[in-house]
Amino acid sequence: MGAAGRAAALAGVALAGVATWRGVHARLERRRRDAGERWRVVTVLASPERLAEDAYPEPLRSAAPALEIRTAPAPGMRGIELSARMLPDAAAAPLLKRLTGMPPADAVRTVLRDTKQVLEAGEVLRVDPRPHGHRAATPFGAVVDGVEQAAKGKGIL
Amino acid sequence: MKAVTWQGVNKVGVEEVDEPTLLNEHDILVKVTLTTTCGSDLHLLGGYIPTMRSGDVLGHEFLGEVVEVGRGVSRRKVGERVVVSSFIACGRCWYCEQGLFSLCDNGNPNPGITEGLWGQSVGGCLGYSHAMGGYAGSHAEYVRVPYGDVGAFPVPDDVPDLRALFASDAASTGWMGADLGGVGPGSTVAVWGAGAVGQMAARASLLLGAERVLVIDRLPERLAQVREHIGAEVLDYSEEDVLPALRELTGGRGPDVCIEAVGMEAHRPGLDYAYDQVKQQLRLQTDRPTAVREAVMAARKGGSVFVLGVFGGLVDKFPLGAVMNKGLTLRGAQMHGQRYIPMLLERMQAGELTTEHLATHVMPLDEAARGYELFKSKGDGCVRSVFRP
Repeated sequence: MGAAGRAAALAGVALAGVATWRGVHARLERRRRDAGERWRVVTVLASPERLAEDAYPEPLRSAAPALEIRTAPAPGMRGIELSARMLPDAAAAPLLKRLTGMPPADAVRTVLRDTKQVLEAGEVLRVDPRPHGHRAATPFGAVVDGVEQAAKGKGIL
Repeated sequence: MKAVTWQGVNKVGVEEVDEPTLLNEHDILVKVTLTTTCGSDLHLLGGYIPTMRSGDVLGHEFLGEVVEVGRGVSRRKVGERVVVSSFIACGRCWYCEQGLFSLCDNGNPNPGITEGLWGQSVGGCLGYSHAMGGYAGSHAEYVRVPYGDVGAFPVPDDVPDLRALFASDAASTGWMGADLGGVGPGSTVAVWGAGAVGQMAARASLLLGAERVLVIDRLPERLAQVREHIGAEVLDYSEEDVLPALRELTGGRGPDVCIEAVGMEAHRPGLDYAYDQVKQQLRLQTDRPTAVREAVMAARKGGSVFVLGVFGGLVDKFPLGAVMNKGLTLRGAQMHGQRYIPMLLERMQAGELTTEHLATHVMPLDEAARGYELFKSKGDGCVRSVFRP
């Protein structure tokens, strides 16, 4: 490969690198922006009056001062689409943190999921305390514990 | 109480653990009478489903007696002999209302894990990793069952324990594959895998009116069970090339419905198996889809393929072109036990569906490590190891 060829190859690699970095940067930026602002939505198989503004069940009732909330009928008799996002208010994130112990996006997911469960199944499902044998202290075990602890608030909701 | 726990990759043992308690108003507590190994447990044991934690109590297919009920339970009563669906479902969400119980929106307290893996969270399952809820399983003296009114079913007095036990999962799963795969009168069906689930899928196909049912495996004792107890034909893939044999046996068309009951650790002779093994062991793919590939290639034009075997993630060299160009319907699911168990118990009572032969090795819970070793190695003709706590 001559000098011109090497220069062209280097330029190609550089361009590909820039394009990749831009793509990753844009995605991270979207995620950062979405963390607090995006609407998060669950569909609840319940009648509209059970989600009337003056009759929110817990935990939605306690979180409501920190949230913008809207409801709409779901198509195909599937109940109500319940949407929420954090208000652009300095007090919103601290309230959500106090209620759930989670950062805003995770808190909104958790509030929506638990509210849906209360309306549909009557209560929030618990799993602890549960029987278990010896939990070995391993790096992989710590990862599984961490993943489970965060699982209620994570996901792509 | 004693319980069988996962203690690391390919390590199982019996430990003393705390007894479960009622945590929700809809919970019931069941004293376990019989609890069986399942092929999908082997994926947990082998580390192929990576959200296990040492000390987790295994087991999801079982039968027992109700010993306590929560305040919100109205249908189940203390003292009832019940068989329990392995998947946990609320019975109230839209998916449950459609009969798709393993997709319940409210059965998995760890939804973020499976949403990240698969785009949506699915229901929870007893004793089946933290991705599926992290519930303690049934290989124990007692087990907590959430949504007890929805997932536990009384067993008629004249159905023996070793028959009712398999309504919990194997029979429900097999029936679902035949039902949702579209088996009907006159169908020709091929089933990959002659384990308990494959046998139940074959039996279900016959009961749903299939004219010809062929079960594919390599283990002579399992193929013998298929002939003797299920009433289906068999194909030994260690002796015959499956694709040409199926064409010959189905008038050159291929089966109308292909049911895959093997899962992510499929075996078969040939280069593609070696390729899958290398990629799976290097974690370049999570699952070995050998049997699914073959089912896709075998199905008749316009036919259907139902994936009953458990898969966790990504596969390589999948014949998507065959799916598209042959106009196939490809479907799969974890099992919707609540949809099928009452009907299965009726058929068991009527003698149409017998399962006792599947329990080849019944032993005390203390011998669970030996039971899993036999089950994994398929030694001594083991089809299922069943534990008595």
